[in-house]
Amino acid sequence: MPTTTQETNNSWQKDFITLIKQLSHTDRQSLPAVGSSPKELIYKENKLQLFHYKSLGVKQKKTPILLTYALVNRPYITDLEPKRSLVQRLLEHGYPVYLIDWGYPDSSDKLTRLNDYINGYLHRCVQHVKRHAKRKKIDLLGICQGGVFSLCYTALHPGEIRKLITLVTPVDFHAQNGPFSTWAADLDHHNLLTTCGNIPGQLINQLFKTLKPFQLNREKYRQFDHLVNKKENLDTFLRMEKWLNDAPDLAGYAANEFWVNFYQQNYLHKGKLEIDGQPVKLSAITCPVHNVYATKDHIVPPKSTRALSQHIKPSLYSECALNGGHIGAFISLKTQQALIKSLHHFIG
Amino acid sequence: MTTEKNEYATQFQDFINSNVPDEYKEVIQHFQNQGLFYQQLLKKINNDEPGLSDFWNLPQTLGFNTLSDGQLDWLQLYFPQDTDQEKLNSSSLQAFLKTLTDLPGQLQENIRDIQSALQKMNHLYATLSKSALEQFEALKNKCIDPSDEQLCQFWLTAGETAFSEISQTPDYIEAHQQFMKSAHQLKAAQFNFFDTFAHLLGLPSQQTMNDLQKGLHTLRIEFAEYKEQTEATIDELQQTICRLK
Repeated sequence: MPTTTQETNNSWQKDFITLIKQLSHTDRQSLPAVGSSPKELIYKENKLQLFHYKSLGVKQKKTPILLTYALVNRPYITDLEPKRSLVQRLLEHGYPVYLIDWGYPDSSDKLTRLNDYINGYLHRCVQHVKRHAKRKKIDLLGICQGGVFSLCYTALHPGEIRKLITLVTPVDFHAQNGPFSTWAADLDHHNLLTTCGNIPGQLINQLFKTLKPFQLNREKYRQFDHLVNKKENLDTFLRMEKWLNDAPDLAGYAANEFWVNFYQQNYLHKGKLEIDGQPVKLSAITCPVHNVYATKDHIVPPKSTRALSQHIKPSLYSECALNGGHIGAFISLKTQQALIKSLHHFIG
Repeated sequence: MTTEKNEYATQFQDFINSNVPDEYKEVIQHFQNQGLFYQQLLKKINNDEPGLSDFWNLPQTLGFNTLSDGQLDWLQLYFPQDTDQEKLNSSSLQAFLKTLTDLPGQLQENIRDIQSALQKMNHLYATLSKSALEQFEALKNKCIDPSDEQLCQFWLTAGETAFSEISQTPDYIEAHQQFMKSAHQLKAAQFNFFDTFAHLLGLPSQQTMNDLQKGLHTLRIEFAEYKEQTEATIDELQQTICRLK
């Protein structure tokens, strides 16, 4: 029997008052912690920080894994909370885990180029991890744009990486027509720059929210009985809200290069990309590559990421489909087990 | 019911005035705004009132309904405002304001471009709302006595479908690009003006700042590369010493 509008309103008001009471509780004087797995800072350069996570007392694997996330949003999404932590799941399996935090660029970083990110920051982080773990090669796990950087890096420095994992990583930027790729096609990115020469993180956030405007701006706040009924759910929601609104500005020069070379010209997939005059050919990758994509990803469609198979030798390439969205692929409780099983099988 | 309504309003106001973290207040305000939105939506549908298409207003959905809205912070970054009264009273700023009134026609042209783009965008948003309403009616008519939950789902489906259709049209893309371009040109003109004024005051020009930033950037990279080479050499030496031992 359909509910009346009055019943709907009463139910909403009841939940709303409960939510207010829960958020007013003395236990909630501070926000739920994010990225709380114990770690040590092993390298710092400008705004970049490289962390090594403390092992969990299980038998340790030899080869370390370096996680590299996108420049958009913050990398603590990989360690959002203990239950939803890719970092924790890797540590539980005995992998030595390292993470790059790119930091918050300011106007003094507006001239940072893709070459600085890939052949500079990322390369020096790889060297630090190698020395810290006393290994000659490491495993690299790149997520989204971090995956694109990882692919470029591995193609340019094949001797440094033992195994490469790409997670929800775009390769063919023209694979599927969506609002983002259509708008990006002709947009002059200079129009997005602020007077300080960078692109505001809040603008990028707004663009992502525009991909599904009614869903992401209204529907997600419509029902919250699942939040008021379980403290854990409310904690997760608050952490996600914090992460979603925590968007660093993008260094202007590198953002321009990424916009033109990847979104507009699709050079990586076409085999025409150059970083600092050096050609970046994905076919130059000689290590095993495991490509993980999400079947419901509206930001990086499966077709875009699976295009990687066209560039890597079949004997070196494997892939795994996760039943989730762009972020849910590695933080959802349902997909996390499938993800870690797939990674464990690939990395060994 | 009145008591419940009062309780809800009182609790909300007390919460906003309390010392809880601002992030909690933002979350509660989001839920409150959307709660009110859906209450009004359902009331409008169930009473069969006119003006339902307004509920697919895209700028409002994206939070562009008021200039004081926090979500507009990113837009304000483009046009930094300084309305400090003390500064406004200073003679240099008075001179600046006088110069501002003499700004060339370029700025007026930029503003006209923005207005033109906004008009096109408003027309497209109206088309989106109309299309969404038609899709909503079609979905609703297929269902006998739909529940509130179903009506909200129809609203969502209609909105997303209409948006995905219109956002791919050349008109929509062109209008948004024109807006961004016009806003950028206005910002650039404003920036040049401030740069000129800064020069009059003897402050460093933007070119000087750029040169400094370029120098800093180069130094940072050189230093990081030198440090990396040094650490790699030390590491190699340590390994050699270990082997010799």
